[in-house]
Amino acid sequence: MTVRLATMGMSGCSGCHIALLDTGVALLDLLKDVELVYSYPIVDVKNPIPDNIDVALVEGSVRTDHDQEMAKEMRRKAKFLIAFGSCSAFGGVNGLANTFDSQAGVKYVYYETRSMGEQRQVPSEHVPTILPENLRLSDVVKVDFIIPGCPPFPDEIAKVLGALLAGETPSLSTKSVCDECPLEQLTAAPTQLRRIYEIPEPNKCLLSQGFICMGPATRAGCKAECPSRGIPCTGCRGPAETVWDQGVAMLDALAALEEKELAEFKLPRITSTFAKYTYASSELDKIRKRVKQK
Amino acid sequence: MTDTKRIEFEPVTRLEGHAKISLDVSGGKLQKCNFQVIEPPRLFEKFMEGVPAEDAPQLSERICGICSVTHHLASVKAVEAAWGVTPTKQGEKLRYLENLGGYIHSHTLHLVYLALPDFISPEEPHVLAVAQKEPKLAKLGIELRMFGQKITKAIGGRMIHPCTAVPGGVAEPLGEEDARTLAKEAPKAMATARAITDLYFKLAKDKELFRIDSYSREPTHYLGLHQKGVHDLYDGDLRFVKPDGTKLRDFKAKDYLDHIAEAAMPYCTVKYPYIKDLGPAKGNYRVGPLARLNVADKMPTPIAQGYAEQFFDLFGGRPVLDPMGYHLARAIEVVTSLELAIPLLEDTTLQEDNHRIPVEPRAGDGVGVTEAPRGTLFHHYTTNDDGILTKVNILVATAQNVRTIERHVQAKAHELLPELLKPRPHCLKAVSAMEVAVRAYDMCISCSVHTIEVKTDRGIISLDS
Amino acid sequence: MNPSKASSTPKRKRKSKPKAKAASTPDKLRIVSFCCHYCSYGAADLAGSSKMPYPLNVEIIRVPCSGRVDPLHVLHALENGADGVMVTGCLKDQCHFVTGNLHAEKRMMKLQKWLETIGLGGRLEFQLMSAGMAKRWVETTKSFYDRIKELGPNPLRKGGK
Ligand code: SF4
Ligand code: SF4
Ligand code: SF4
Ligand code: FES
Repeated sequence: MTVRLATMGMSGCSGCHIALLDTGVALLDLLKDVELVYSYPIVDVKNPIPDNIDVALVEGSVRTDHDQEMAKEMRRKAKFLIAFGSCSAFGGVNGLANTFDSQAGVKYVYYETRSMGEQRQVPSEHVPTILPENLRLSDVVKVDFIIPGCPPFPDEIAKVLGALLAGETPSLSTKSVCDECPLEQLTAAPTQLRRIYEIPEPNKCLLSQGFICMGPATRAGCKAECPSRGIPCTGCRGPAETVWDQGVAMLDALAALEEKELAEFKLPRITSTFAKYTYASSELDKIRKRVKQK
Repeated sequence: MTDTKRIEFEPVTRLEGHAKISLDVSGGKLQKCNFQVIEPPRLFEKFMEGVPAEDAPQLSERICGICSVTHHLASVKAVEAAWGVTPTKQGEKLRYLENLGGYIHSHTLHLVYLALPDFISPEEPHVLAVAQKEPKLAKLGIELRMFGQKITKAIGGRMIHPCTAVPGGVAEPLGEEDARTLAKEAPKAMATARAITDLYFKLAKDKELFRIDSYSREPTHYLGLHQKGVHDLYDGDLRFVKPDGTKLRDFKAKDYLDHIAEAAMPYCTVKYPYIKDLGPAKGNYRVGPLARLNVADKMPTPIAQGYAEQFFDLFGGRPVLDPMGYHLARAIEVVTSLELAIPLLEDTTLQEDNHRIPVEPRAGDGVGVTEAPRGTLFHHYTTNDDGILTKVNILVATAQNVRTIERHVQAKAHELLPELLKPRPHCLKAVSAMEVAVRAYDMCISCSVHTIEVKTDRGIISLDS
Repeated sequence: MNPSKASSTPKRKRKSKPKAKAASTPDKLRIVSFCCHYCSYGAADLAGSSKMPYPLNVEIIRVPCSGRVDPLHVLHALENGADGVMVTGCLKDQCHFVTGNLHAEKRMMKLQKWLETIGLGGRLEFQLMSAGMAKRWVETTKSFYDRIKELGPNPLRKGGK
């Protein structure tokens, strides 16, 4: 029996779709028993979304009413709906927009950005609405599985799809990025916080050198791509299996690690450092949304 | 106008991002044709404020997953300009090579996966059909794109959204083993690139099949980077060329605000960039592969130069106005990217330890410009004393082509109206004819709408001409 | 298995959760105070047994060390309608777990800033004191209570539980 596969994009960057292509030859193998029934980058199928989809990969966060409608339609038609990538699973970097008022952002873009010429206006005709909040897919519809990552790691995509096509239950790594990290893990606590423009000592755990490396709170599966290049993990794969809230867990871990409080964290920075990809699904944002509603 | 009927074709397929074409028809006449970008707004320029500038390269690249390398590099260049840092020579070379990797991936993706189906299997235009008809080519295409991705991974750490560009250079040198394996694969990649280019030239000989002359020739200006007149994909001076192919002027990236401005439209959520002193009406310009070839006097490498000469002959001299010229220009750029990448892969100085220098954050204002696969890309940052971003402006490639794309679509809509009014699926062929023009530009809507469409995700372009 | 769910399942069970019973004070403001067993709990106890009045709005949760308080505990308290949250621990160098109080301080200071971004700024307080400092306990609770009074009830309270 051929499996009917669909892919769809909402508010994202297409990176997750490219990651799907990056599975390369593995993809060709996977697609042997698959009928690609809807996928804007590959096949010319127009809306409405076809019926009877077996597996749907949905990229991007829910940012507009259009996204919301599409998400609901896909849910109605797909048996197994996968939040594909961190935007879809956790809100992604787009979630950082939840730290300010979206309407103010709109105005900023059409009136204040520096390259604006004389013709300034907020487009107002035939334009759908941006939602007040950036949402993850599971805020709108029921999600059957997530493939995290910004973008997801090609091997993992192949593994999950392979399992699904074989009728098995897919699974993700339950470890943290530190478990896969090749750097020498030191027990010494850092004496100061450092920023990534500073040059780290090679081959030593970045966190113990004072760089905010999100490794301990982040789900493994990427083979620690960033720390193995001397760049701290920014947490793109979202919370590790045992972590409730990635940012809060990291804040917690960091307090135990650093000895002197040096960093003067300004507000946007604290969010972009600890919850770069997960703010829209964080405990903090949950509270914020409720405060705002009142 | 109560009997106005609205027809929508969504999504426009085989491009990156989300768009639709809509028609308003009343009494059998076309009232309006919109090419609507429906990629939602993501507000990057706003949420990057307050973030440490050295984080910007990893944050701003999330604007686009296809040309993330270029965003990453333009971003780090802007930070360096703001902080008054000059990266090391080795760092520059590494970035240059990484950028070429991005080109090989992005252009091949477009040439083989997205565009080729229109020409070699027009009845069934998708890459899976190509894989059936030309299995060898399809496989080579996959390999060539992966070759580009591997270069990016070797330097940037990740294939998509690389992480290693830091102010002052690149986090790590090129690994010896990576260099060796890549250098070994390079000749095959080169051969594939030439085969693809030859194929496109062959296809283009059949003017009808390749749809040369079937789209409106928009006499626009062109913008691109060059180094002393030589085509360049990473650095150099900017040049505007007039619709007749003569030079309008050269300028430096840091002065871009004196030369380019954006106009917001009532129906359109993508802001239209235009040449500032010529005004929105007359200052329309195009960017991307075709623009770069029209702008540069010559290519940096011999094989590409040979193709470029053939290319201008084919279209009857410079500048080329036909949108289908974009495909050939794109193929030529893959060739030149490989010609430039091969010596760099063999360059052992890339493996040295001089890849990065220490830097100090400071208050400043800087512009970083690169050529993204789809055209000139500007990142403009202001930082405070701690090196935190206080102001961000990003001008992306695709937005600069949107107005011209709209014109092609509208012209086609008028021409093919009776076809378009037929019920589905009979109308889809005509839709596809419109899409072919959109596709020539390798539109990347994720980019064009990185923030731009705020209130609005349905960028509507009105047909008022 | 459902990882999307699994990933949001807490490993650590929430031990401390503000009791749902209504506060018996006229203004109904509720302050959750996490007190370290070795010091601030003693201070509060002493204040009580010495009949020193302090706001009745304070509901005490005893923890083994201020370092045991996870920022999530604070967030959950606020989410469930606490108007203010106090975390108190031993004096510097007197923590029974050596550095628990210092870690707690750093965490809470960062969290304080983060709370500002979501409109709950000022509702978290961190203080150090020894078991004998009943007066300090009283002063701290009083001034925090005054601040909360000024801020008014937690916007989440009415709709919430
Ligand atoms: S998760 Fe990352 S790669 Fe995927 S769409 Fe979002 S920003 Fe792009
Ligand atoms: S560098 Fe980061 S990922 Fe690696 S061990 Fe240290 S904290 Fe973990
Ligand atoms: S190391 Fe961290 S940021 Fe890098 S890919 Fe892995 S999870 Fe993502
Ligand atoms: S034992 Fe009191 S704060 Fe640690």
